[in-house]
Amino acid sequence: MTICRNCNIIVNDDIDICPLCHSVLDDDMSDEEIATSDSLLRQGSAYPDVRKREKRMNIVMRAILFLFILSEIGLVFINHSVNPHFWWSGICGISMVYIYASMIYWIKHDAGFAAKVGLQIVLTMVVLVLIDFYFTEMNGWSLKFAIPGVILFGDAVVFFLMMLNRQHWYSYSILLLFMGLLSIAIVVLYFTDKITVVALPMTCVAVTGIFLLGTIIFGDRELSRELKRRFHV
Amino acid sequence: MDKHNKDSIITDDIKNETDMDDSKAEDKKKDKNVKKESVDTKKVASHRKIRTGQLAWDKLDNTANLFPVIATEDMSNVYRISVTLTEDIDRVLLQEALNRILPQFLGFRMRLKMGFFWYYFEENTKPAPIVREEYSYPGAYINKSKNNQYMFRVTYYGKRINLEVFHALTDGSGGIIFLKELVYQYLRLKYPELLEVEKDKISSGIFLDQEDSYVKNFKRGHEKVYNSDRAVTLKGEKFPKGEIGIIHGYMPVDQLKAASKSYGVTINQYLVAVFVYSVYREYLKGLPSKHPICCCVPVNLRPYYDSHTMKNFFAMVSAVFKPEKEDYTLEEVIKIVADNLKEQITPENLNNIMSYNVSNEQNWILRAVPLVIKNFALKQVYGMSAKATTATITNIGNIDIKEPYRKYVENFYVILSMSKGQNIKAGVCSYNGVLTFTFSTNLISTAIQKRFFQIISKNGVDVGIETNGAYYE
Repeated sequence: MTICRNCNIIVNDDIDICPLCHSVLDDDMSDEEIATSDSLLRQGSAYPDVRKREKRMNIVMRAILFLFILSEIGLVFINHSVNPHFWWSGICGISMVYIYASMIYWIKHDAGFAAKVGLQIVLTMVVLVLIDFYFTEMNGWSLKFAIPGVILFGDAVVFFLMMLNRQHWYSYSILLLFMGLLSIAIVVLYFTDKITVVALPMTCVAVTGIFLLGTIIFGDRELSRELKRRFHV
Repeated sequence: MDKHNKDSIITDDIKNETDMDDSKAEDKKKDKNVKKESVDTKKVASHRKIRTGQLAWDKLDNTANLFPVIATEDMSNVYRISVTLTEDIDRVLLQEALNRILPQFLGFRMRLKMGFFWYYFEENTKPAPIVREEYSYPGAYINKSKNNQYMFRVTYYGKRINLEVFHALTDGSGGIIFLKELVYQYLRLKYPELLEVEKDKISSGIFLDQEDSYVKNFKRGHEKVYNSDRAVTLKGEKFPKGEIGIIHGYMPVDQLKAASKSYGVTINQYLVAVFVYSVYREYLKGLPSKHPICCCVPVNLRPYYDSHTMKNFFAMVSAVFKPEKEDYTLEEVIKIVADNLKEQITPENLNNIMSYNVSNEQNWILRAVPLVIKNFALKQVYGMSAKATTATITNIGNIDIKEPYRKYVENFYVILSMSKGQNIKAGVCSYNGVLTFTFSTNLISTAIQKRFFQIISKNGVDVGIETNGAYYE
């Protein structure tokens, strides 16, 4: 324990300079000053050095970003040298942005698991449509196959989550409702002739519809309570 | 767990742990005991679930509605209340103490969920959050999908136990009740001789009331109470993102009482005024300013409404000082600030503030707006109103510990996290005749703190300080 003669304040840190006025501290304290410091500071309250931990996490994320950027530069170079007529490196670039954004979102954002899955599904659909639009001249594979496939995958994820967390299965019911809305959107696309291939979109609608119907019928009070909580005004 | 049970488990363990050193073996034994307890707790919990079949849920109180909207990693809305004991903390026993008391506190046993119109709390049936050695700066963001989805965390370091609470759960008054019970339970586990004079359960007489006292006591017919004029914002070089500088100042309560009495004010008014004066001298350099220094002071509303709620129940008043000339003296500033606070801390004005806050929440048109839009609007309103505050000083008052436990407890601390536009805050509490004034800031400069403690020292008060090391390499 030391004392700052300029501030007339006892300092309990293991340091030679006063943290307030930056004058050199005096460790030659009188008996009265020692008694005062003992009664005031008692055993004090030491703190750990937590700076290292914070830095480690940042370095990992920056290393991944650095690798992605470096890889993309390399891919653009290869693409340009080998096949300049089809910019497949753009698809890789979008995919890397997608992966990095997803990582940031899953690590840093504190939304619930269901909300994260929901947003991930939307993000995946957007990326697929973008790739279709910019790189394959919107020939429709994203709407015909990829998006219904993502919805079916989403249904499977919801089912898996409900089974995994059976005690609170209803906490994924909003995500299932969201899947239902996406399926309705697929039906609308079919009736507006945006989708001509019927098999996969209709399978997707049927599976989601059956899943929803089963949840409503067997969900009973659990589901109504969940909806009451989620939609309380 | 009874002593016989504990002894038999320890004996079994010793047979298997002959190669381990004593401390590791001891830790493992305790861990096993805790695991066994947790299994028992799970059995009880699952049994209860089968019988009742539904989870408790609760709406957020009026103040709490704002916190999830504005909370970010930089602005966590998490406060810390710490206690230092006379001996190093035993992690296993602290975890066990938490496991035992948490089932009694429904308000803390909640997870935050997002509804279509509002956030809400849902009972959390997961095991209590893991007690860990301190690993982040005080008041770090609580991620609602980690920490077993609890909105508080318990950490320890050396002799200190930290309780960090997301403000939506409860205010400092609720937090201190929980921390005290945690400490009592921990001490009963650590020193079984306490069981001769104390029962092994949470204290009788404490209230676990979860009422929304804002709604209960709200009256219509209020006036607009907040001044949204821009206040002085303290600027300067900041710590790297996520870091926070802490300075604890320790002062004897009797000397502080004498110093504040010499100015004819209370200790709280004195401390707020000295802080305002320090900002005026160090930041405004004693010059006139077109913006006032506004120091927010939360007022506990429980005594005014005979409430014992464990939820938030406070109102904000502001000590406002607008320098219109040069070189105000300390006496002048103390008088201005004390008069200002006296005018505002009256039952009528506090009722007016509370009713104004609640009135917006009671409006049915606003209630029916989807949460996504509410969030956006609340962020904008908060962003504008945040400019009207320079700093916040909260005083949770004198903390009393039950007599049998007193000899094991050294001190208490309150630490606030940063808010938008407020780069310095302070938390005050007193225990056993010593008042602890804790500055938390993201500014590297310590000029305001220096002036603050120097003034108090010049007023005849012994001052001791301690930092969290953020100011050193």
